[in-house]
Amino acid sequence: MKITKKRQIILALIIILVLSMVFSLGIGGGRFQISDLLSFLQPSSLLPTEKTILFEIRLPRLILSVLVGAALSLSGAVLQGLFQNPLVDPYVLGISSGGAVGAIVAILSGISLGFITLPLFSFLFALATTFLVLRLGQIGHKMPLEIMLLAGVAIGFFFSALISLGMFLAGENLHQMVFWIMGGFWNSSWNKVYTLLPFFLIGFPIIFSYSRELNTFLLGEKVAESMGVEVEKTKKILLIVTSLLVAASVSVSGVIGFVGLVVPHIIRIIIGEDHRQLLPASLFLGSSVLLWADIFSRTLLHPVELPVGVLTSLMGAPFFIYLLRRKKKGW
Amino acid sequence: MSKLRIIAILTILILAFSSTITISFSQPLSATDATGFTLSLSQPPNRIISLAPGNTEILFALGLNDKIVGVTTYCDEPIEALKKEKIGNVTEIDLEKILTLQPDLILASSLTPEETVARLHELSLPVFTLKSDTIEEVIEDITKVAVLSGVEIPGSNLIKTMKDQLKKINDLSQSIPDYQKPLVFHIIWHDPIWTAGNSTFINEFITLAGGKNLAEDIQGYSTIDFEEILKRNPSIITVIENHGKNEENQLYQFVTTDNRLQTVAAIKNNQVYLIDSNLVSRPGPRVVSALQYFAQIIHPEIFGEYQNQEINSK
Repeated sequence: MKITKKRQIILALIIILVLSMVFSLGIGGGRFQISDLLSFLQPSSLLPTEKTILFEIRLPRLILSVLVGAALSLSGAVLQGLFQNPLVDPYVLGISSGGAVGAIVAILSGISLGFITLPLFSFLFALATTFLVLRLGQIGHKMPLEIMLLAGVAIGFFFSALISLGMFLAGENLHQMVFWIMGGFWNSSWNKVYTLLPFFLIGFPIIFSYSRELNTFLLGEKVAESMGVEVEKTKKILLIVTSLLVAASVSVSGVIGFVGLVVPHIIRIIIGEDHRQLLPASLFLGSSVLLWADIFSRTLLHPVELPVGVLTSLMGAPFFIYLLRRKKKGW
Repeated sequence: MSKLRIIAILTILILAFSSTITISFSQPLSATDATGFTLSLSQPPNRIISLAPGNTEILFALGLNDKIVGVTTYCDEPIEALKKEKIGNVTEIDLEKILTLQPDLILASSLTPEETVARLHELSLPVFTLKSDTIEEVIEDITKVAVLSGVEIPGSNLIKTMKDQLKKINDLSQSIPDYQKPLVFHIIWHDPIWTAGNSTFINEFITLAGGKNLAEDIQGYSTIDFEEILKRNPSIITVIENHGKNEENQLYQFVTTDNRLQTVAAIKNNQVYLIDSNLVSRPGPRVVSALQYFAQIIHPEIFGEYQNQEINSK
């Protein structure tokens, strides 16, 4: 595929994302209303309630779902490239399980530091998990990726058992845990957006600056090294940055599956393996996908709200299988 | 021969007569439960096990304190219930424990797992399931327990009190015209917002108390789109209060301080009320008290002020 064609595809993905964002702002009361959309242009004429709905509920929610979608797909793309393994998703290092354990500890212990408690605990636990796995996966000065992967999987299983134990012991608090684990943007606020934003502003540029190095990994670590890439350093930086992004995402939205695993694959099928295009394309598609999942979660059973994490897998998995069988390409 | 025949006939007659007498004396205590199972007991039970907090409250209210040999870890009302032997929590039941307690009546609930009830039946244990979705059905269930336990007289007093209170509130609220029925939003949890729709006790409390449930178009307990709360603009918000846990304040705090809810009438006019979660969720004798509280919250001008220490201290 020619580079201009790839650029056109990325441009198309950006346009789709922008249109989806605009469309999403007009979704309320279970349907799309153009009047809601027009209200954004003249906020001074709005009633306080309408203003709150548009600027305190819809807008932060939209931004949060776009950011989390971007972070998950981008991390997925990076980790799949790094590990050279198609089954890798952003949660492969046990980060989501760590985050869930944090949330459960917060719920069970009854520790309360205000509304920040749950996100804070899940972030700290996710972070601790990451460093535990990185430490366990390190042998001498090297980080053999298979060992890292297996360490992550093992820690993930261990934490899953802890989660089950927590849920078993939860009693009346069970619903809080279930909701957290199912993932969603229920209570998106500007505070959550502000907390997340720094991670993204720092994380995204760092990841993009490693596109070339990631391309050399496609040929194997040895070749990468012979081409002058600092393999160990690259691995370390990319693992830390993606883990931070995922930990931050998990802490505000719970566990949202599928997006981070599949979006990069879809992009690979369309655009190929070059990370210089793969990474930005994954980011934009991931944002759109999660945004649409959230739109559906708000509208399908209106006024009931569905957990987004459930929807992403329900809708995404069949579509992905269809794509795989049609193209039989990629990994 | 004829003498013998006469004696035989007489004996049969006497036997038949006496047996009718004994039958009328020990008429089996019998009732049919929500699962369609009819339980007959030859004598009033002396060793009763309750598998749910609501059931325990019913047993105590019927004065069966001394007959209760097992309850769940959630049974905390009345306080005496805490001293009873524990047979597990509501969903995890220790069958061996139940067997060693040798119960002659087990009261299951809608929360008891179906497999557990089936297993109890298999073990030929006298299990009776209480399942109620409305206050009327709670009263019916209490009647059945009273019949089965042979305490129909104290039972009928309790039932009469409950029915009278229900009728009193219902009569008063019936006269309230629709436009004077405030929109009430009940919040169980805030992250995500979780509320009670139709076919819940909460919905019945709100409706009977002369209010309108904000989430009445939603089935059962559910999440709700945040925007809808603002659009529908409830004039009263009731918030669940759990005993002895610090998260109840978290929920109350969320509702009263979240900046997105500040345009809602209930928040602007200070109409946020804490209500005991056990009171509103347990199908037991206290459902009428719960109804009474909702009535006081929704129409204090008719039913009097709602007294809640928690609220007053804030």
